[in-house]
Amino acid sequence: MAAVDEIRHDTASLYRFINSVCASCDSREAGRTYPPASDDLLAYIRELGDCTRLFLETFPATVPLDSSYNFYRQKLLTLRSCWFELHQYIKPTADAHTLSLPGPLIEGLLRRFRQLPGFADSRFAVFHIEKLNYLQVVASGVRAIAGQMASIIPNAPSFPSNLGLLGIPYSQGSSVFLNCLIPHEMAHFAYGENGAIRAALLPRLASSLTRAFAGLPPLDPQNIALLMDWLESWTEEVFCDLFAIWLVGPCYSFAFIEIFDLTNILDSAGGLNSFGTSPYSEFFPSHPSSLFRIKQHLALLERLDWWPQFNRTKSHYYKVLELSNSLVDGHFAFSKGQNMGTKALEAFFDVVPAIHEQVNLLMSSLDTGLAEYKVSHHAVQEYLKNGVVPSTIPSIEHSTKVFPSPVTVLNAAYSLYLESLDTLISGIANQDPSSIRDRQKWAEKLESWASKAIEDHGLLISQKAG
Amino acid sequence: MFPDTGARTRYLSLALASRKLIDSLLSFVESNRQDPQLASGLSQFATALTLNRAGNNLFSTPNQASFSHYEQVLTLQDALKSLSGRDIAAELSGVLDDTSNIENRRKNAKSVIDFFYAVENRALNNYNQQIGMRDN
Repeated sequence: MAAVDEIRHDTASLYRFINSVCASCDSREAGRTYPPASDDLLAYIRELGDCTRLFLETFPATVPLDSSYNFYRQKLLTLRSCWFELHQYIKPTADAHTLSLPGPLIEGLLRRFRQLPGFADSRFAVFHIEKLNYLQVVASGVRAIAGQMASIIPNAPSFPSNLGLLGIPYSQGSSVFLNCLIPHEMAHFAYGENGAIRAALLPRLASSLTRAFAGLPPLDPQNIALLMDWLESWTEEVFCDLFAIWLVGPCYSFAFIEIFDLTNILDSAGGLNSFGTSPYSEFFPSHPSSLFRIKQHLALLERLDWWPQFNRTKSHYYKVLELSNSLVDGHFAFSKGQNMGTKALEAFFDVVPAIHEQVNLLMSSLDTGLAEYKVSHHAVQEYLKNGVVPSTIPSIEHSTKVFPSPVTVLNAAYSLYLESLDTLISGIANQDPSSIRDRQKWAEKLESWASKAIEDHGLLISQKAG
Repeated sequence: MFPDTGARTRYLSLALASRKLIDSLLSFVESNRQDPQLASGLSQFATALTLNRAGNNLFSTPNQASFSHYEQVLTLQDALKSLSGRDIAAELSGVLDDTSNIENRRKNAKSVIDFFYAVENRALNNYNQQIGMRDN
């Protein structure tokens, strides 16, 4: 086959591939509705597909059949790789209809997120993920890739600047407690969008690493890159955890403990099971150790005054948080890169206060929700114990009504689940608090009442505003 | 799904940045049209190559430079190795030097396309390994 025929064939092949990818943007279940931002994401991909195909229609005629042929030809491979990347998001987004998502919770969190400076018009497309780990989904990469694609395809649209992506495990649409981890993903969007945070932290990482390696033999460029990547990943993760706690309160930490089953570190007397603790103290290239993160959670919960609201003796989750405070820096380890790993940890510990500072700077204008929680959480828990959705609570003097916010509802419901599920179940005929099945059933009910209260809150405050 | 998104997108980002420059350089060489973003794009790579040569614990970049992630540094080094004997940094400077005459700049531009082609090629190969398209 002549080169001219080959390039025409290969271009048509890519054209067909993009055609099929774009067609799947429309493969949605009839009768379902989808979050508007998800519609926007798919519309954007369709438009990018239109522009790519238009470009491909004329591409073969522009390719010279001389020594520069390969320089042109390889663009097809680059475009194909970009479409491989976009392809991964389409079906999970098209599958994530509103009935399969914790819609009211996402809306409630988004209302708070939009109160942050610079994020008033933010929105999130939502997609399903197969892995049950919200904390591993960093979708900012695909936004950057789409932006770069626009620079090599004529007239291609830019990725909408205010559009973030949220991945929800496909099985957790009706969960409320585990979905308290969603703010961590929102934080990755905030970290990526707000350039000032990264610009402030990177020089701190660099100077801290310089100090840690002072007097040691020079490092190879790839090791320098590796060290900066490790520290930046850990920095971003801790930033996202602290951001999440400020946005939603301690229920984030409870969900974190639950998903990683961190109560495994406790012995039967409620102390640290020191042998079992060591795996949770190990850092990974992309994530700090779970216990180090919990220790940072506790530091912020104490500073925001959330921590005194919880009686340590009432839940083993609280014990995990409390015990993390006894762990000193030397308790944590990072076994990658041998001596380099130890030095990396030393540099990172030095930077942690700066991460707390950046979270404070971004979040301090946002009410933590603690004041309302202090006033309303007992009433919310009483409603829940009696199987009543706590959408509206009369004030003490009964002259006004309080619509408990998502922060109050989530934290009151989660602490009720941790402290008093037995009491709730004992009040119901023919139900046994020692039965695992009954506990599962009433925990789900509790989540559904909390979810309804959060949904009602959105409606009630919009009515009040109207 | 979504395994190690960071490494994957870093490879793809490097490939796209190289492609953008290949397109611009080809246009400059063949039609004498200069993309307004050509100089800044070449400067980013020139800085990355300078840092790649350094061996003195240079952590002190005020903001992390372009293409300074581990996967990108390895890919750039691999591309440089494939063109051993060439002074790519000097060729990049030759394109950027606006005091030089246009023919010299175009000559350097033509020469340096090889380098960006090699970077794009290796970055795409690494990307495809990450997504399982090049599993052996």
